[in-house]
Amino acid sequence: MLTRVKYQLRPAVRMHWASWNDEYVVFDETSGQTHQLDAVRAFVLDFLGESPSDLFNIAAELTKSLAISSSYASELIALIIQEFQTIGLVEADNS
Amino acid sequence: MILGQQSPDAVRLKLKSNGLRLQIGPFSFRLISSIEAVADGLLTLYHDYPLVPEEEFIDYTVTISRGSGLHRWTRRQAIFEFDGNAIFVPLPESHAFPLLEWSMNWCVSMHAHHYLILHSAVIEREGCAVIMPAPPGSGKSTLCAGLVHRGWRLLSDELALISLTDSSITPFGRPISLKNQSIDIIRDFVPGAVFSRVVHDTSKGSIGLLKVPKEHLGRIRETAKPRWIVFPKYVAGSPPQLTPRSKANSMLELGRNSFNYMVLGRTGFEVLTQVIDASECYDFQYSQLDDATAAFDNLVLRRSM
Repeated sequence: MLTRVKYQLRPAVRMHWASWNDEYVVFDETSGQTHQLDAVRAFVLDFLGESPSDLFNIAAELTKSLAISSSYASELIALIIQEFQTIGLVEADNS
Repeated sequence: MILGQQSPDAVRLKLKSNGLRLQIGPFSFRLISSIEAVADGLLTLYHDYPLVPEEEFIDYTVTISRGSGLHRWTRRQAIFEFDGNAIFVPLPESHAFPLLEWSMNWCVSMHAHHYLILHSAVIEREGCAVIMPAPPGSGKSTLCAGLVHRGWRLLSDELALISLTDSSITPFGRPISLKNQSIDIIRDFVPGAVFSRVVHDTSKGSIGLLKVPKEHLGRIRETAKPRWIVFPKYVAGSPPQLTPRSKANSMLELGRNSFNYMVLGRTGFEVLTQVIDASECYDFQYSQLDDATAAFDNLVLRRSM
């Protein structure tokens, strides 16, 4: 079940991107970690880099921009945000 | 002047006193050891490397000393010392020459951060380099040794030194370390190949070091541009299979195979991105060196088309 909590990039994160066709790699200058991302995850991370957003909004954006069904987008976005939190790229915006 | 222009006695004397000063690619080493196996290995394999004049700067001083404890009466040991510190655990004295090779690798991989350094073999043809990263047991060194005797130039069997400014690769050509059955495979594949004395019972099994062809050392200052990244894997009985692989995943694998990607931070990421941009990435499975030679030759032909 999606909540209205907003998520944002962790303030310390400094992302640098590389891409080849539909493959993406992001390097976080602060942690020194490099991550391989598919197109959907790259889109979500880039989207959160623009401004904090809640899961509803991100799922809606996935549906609109990547033509992913809304039910699948809702499932996927919760998983992706959890992954990004685990690797230290994203956090809940508690402000 | 090259090492081979010195008499064996003069080389031994230098090793035992102020050190033998050798230029190996971009680095200068001062080597100190009174262990006979070290002198023998250097005389056999480093014949064509230039000596560094006394007044010139030395990058790394490597000492392979004899242990001085009670062990010396029962089991003689060889110890790698760097700036007065023992870096690795002592090894049996019979392992002294491979220990010298590992020690030189350690010096460069731990300190030469003006390069992005990958744990990888690198060979070159027509200015284009193949980077071959792979874990131990993958057949990387065997493949590298075979190919450098079939038209490819050796840049390194162990360390890819990638420029931080233009991503070119600087040769660091040193003897190729072959293990176990690979020693006889290369003896058969390269008639007349010159090896160091084979050392048994090391942590990697039996090790023989293969001399670098003289003509490759003559071009040791010629850099090459990355063009292919090939992850080799020896599979008994397998036909040669060259399979395209993900560039993004190849980048992560190269990062994992790097000694200083994390040290270099954003610069390391940008250089590695340039390397991947410029390269086709493949997995390569093989069992026969002749097949591998044909497959690698085909890479060059396809590039020209």
